[in-house]
Amino acid sequence: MHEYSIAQYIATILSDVAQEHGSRVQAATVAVGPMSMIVPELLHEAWTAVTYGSPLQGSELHIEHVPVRATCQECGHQTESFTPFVKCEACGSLRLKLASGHELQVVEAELEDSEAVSDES
Amino acid sequence: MRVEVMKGILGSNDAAAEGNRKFWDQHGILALDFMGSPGSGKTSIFERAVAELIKRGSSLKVIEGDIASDNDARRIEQAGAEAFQINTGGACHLHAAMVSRAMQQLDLDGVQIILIENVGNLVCPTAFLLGAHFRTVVASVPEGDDKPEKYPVAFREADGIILNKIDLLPYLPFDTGRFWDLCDQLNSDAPQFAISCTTGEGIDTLCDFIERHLAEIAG
Ligand SMILES: Nc1nc2c(ncn2[C@@H]2O[C@H](COP(=O)(O)OP(=O)(O)O)[C@@H](O)[C@H]2O)c(=O)[nH]1
Ligand SMILES: [Mg+2]
Ligand SMILES: [Zn+2]
Repeated sequence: MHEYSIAQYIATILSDVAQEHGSRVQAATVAVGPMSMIVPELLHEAWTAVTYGSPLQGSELHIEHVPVRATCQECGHQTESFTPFVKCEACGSLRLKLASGHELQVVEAELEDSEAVSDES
Repeated sequence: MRVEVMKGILGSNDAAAEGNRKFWDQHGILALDFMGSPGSGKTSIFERAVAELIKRGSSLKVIEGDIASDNDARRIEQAGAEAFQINTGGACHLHAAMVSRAMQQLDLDGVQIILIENVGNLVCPTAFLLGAHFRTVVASVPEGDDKPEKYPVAFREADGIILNKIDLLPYLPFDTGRFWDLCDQLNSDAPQFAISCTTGEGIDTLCDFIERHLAEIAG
């Protein structure tokens, strides 16, 4: 249930981005690796709760899933997985060297057209 | 308008964790962060380790992370060390900033070791670094010998693995060989400790380990 904390961290980052551009966030993309053990549905729910009543309310959160890329230290086989329960696909070993899977990043944000905003004012 | 952000979601926590580490290093303090399921015996290990380390002449303090209550902090004080209770009020893990605030409130004069009990959970605390020099996972015999397989991330990322309650081995179908083999596969670098807080077995070895690393930090 750390999705709620994660949603708060994302909200802080996106509020800064919105403020910096004098605009509102309509949508954002976050990259999430399986080793961060985020449950996507819970993150979406937490996002709705955390942003409720704030300028981020109603913004969409897109989750981009990044796979674990692992090299087996027993047999050298390369395995790709979208769960943290990754095993070597060839020999079943857990003795893996991970090249990715820990991602937890705000990739980009879609902001309301700032021209439209400044035109109105 | 699309803008690139490319920011680590936990960047601010990571920065606070780095700040904690710097602070501890400057003060020659060794900090250890213990994670494990509720009931695995984290507080019991602290009670034992506090008594033993004090007997050996070390000065230490404890940070107790819990959702609510200060029961654990009171147990530690009875064992002889000052304990600072952090109640997360529902959060399933400590944040680095909570630990920084605790550090500001503790009198650290002469303190050599800080033991941190993270909130009982093997999933949520893993991503939230606190800056400790060692992060230890605590599992216990009644939880089953497949625990590392069920919580691979915590075991992969630990700097040390403790198997507690080994006094219960005669009574439970627990294959220690299997448990440690899974640990070896997931994390061959992490030192392994088999202990019992009931009999005290293995506590000495754990305290030896802590003292060795304290000597390294203190230079
Ligand atoms: N048999 C046995 N029980 C233990 C041992 N260590 C802790 N316990 C018991 O396990 C329960 C939970 O311990 P506690 O230290 O509060 O766990 P925590 O939630 O991880 O802090 C308590 O009833 C302890 O007495 C042990 O080595 N052997
Ligand atoms: Mg406890
Ligand atoms: Zn293999």
